[in-house]
Amino acid sequence: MRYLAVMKREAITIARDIRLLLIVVFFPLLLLIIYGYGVTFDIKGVPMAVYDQSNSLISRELIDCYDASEYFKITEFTHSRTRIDELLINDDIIIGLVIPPDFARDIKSLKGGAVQVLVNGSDANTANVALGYHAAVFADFTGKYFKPPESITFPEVQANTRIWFNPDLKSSNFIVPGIIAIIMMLMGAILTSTAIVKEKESGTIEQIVASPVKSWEYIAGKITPYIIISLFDVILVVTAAYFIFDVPIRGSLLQLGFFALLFLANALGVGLFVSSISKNVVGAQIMAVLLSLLPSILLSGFVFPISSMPRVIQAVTYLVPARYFLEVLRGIFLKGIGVSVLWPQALFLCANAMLFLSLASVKFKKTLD
Amino acid sequence: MIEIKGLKKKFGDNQTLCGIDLTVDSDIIFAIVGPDGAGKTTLLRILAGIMRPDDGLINILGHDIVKNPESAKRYTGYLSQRFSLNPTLTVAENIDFFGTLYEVPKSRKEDRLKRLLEFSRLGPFKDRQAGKLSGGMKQKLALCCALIHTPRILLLDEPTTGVDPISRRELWEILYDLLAQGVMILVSTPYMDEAERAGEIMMLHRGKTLARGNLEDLKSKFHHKLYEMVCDDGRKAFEIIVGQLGDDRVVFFGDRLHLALDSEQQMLTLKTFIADAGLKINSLDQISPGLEDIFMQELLYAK
Repeated sequence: MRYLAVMKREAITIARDIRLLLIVVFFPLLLLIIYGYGVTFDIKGVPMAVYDQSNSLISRELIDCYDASEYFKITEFTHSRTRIDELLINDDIIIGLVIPPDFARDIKSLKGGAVQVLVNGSDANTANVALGYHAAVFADFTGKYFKPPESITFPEVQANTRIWFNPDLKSSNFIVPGIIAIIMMLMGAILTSTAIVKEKESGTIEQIVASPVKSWEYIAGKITPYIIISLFDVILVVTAAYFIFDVPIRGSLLQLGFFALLFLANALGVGLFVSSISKNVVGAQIMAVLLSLLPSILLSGFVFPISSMPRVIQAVTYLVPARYFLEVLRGIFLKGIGVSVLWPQALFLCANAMLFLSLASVKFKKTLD
Repeated sequence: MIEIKGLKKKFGDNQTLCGIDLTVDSDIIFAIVGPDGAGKTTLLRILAGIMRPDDGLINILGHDIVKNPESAKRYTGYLSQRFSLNPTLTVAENIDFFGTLYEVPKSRKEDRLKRLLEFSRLGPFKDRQAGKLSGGMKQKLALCCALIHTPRILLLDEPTTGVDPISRRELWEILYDLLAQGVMILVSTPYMDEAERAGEIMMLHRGKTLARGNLEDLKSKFHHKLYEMVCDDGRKAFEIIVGQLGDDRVVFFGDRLHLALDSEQQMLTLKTFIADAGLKINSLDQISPGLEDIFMQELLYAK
């Protein structure tokens, strides 16, 4: 009963706080849309300039190969090398293609031709991807002209590549699960720790601790509304992901719910731990961001692959619940797998949740000093 | 009903309570009076079970609250110095919330809520959010929340600080009503005039008890003769007296001076001294000591 009373009090407080209500409902959607549309790791339409000195049928054919692929967008045909340099310096293009005057002749004589490709390496990631696209386009083109004579046959070795789970390599397919993890951390850790520390800071906890209410009744009542909100947000974001971003859901929704609850226990554990060691709201929020949000973005494999992190940092990621949850979400969404495969993640999530919750309960006392 | 022995509490290097002994065993209004930093809040918080003492014994209604701070909570009602109710909730919602925390049965809770609203005159404001009440109304609401479970002992930490004079009088009327219903009330206050309304008074200074008793007891402990002097140039007269007797025998009360003297002879000597300095004395009469005079004297003895 006391638990219900605390819960009702918190629910009323949330319901009457318009700003909080907006954060709780619109922020997750906003985050999803910003990340889903804005932060795409797909690179399409790489801006490119061409200086065609050959000006021949063959050179135009090569240029068409680039233009026809959706990966390149030719923004300018120039008539000087210096113009290419200028465009690269101003970051107007990422790739500059210079075709020498003898290009057509060399190709026809079958002795092989050369073109110059200038790549803007200031953004290493994009440059790398652009180079890859270029290599593919160029190989396609040369293949047409340098077919071995039919009389000679080579034994053929071919690599037949197939990309599983995300055949189009759409980045929204793995970003959206990441956002779900971030939103849950945000709701679970930051909102709950703020809600509890706010009562300490404003002194509204004093008359409550003087009553016979038990610690667990107070804490549980206080966080239940945020659990409900978090689950509501998960449903909201999963629905939006499915309908707006066409993210496939191949696994079971029930298992998704099970893992979401497990992850939520982690988020709440972090939130409660933060609230037990902070004395004011600002401090709690900074600490909650440092302990929950940042690791969930940076150390979970959401942005940087864990396998490419230094050993020490890799060890730290074992304490980042989002790491396991991301694997779970990608597994359920894209691979259609479940607990039978993901049980190690489930165990790690359980262990982490117990660790955080017990850290929090050690520190949580029903006294003021 | 409340028994305290050797109660000690330290915050860092600051010994806030240095061995308090206190027994209150009848239904009275018991005032704990003293300046800021005397230890009033710490004492009440420890009694409310929300702070742990370093040392000492406390027994409330037969419960050892040092061993188990939760044991007496359902029999005590506590009002914190700082307004500590949820400002978003309405008056009625706040009272109802505490009713549930103290497990008051639903049927009794409604009846009790009605009576508390009537008795605190908060009835017309029952749907107003607590944050939008005036200072006096907030205190009355907090009091209602502390009373919903009909406690045997009420612990009030400076309930009238920052409250206007009319609301203050109303609050005291409420306290007298509660006393008549058989509630023991421990109230802390920095105001001596307010403590005079209580049945028994404890003077607290830097964590030590200076004096204890009802107003008459305390007055009888006043060994000096107290004179009240009105003088055209009070400031100068004050300096002359301090020059003669030291600074612990004379206190300003508004434009008046209170002199705690050993004998009539001393008064007459002082009078001539002031007259010789060319100051005009408008009046100089012996008066009966108030709590503040007693406090000053006890402070002097404590030295």
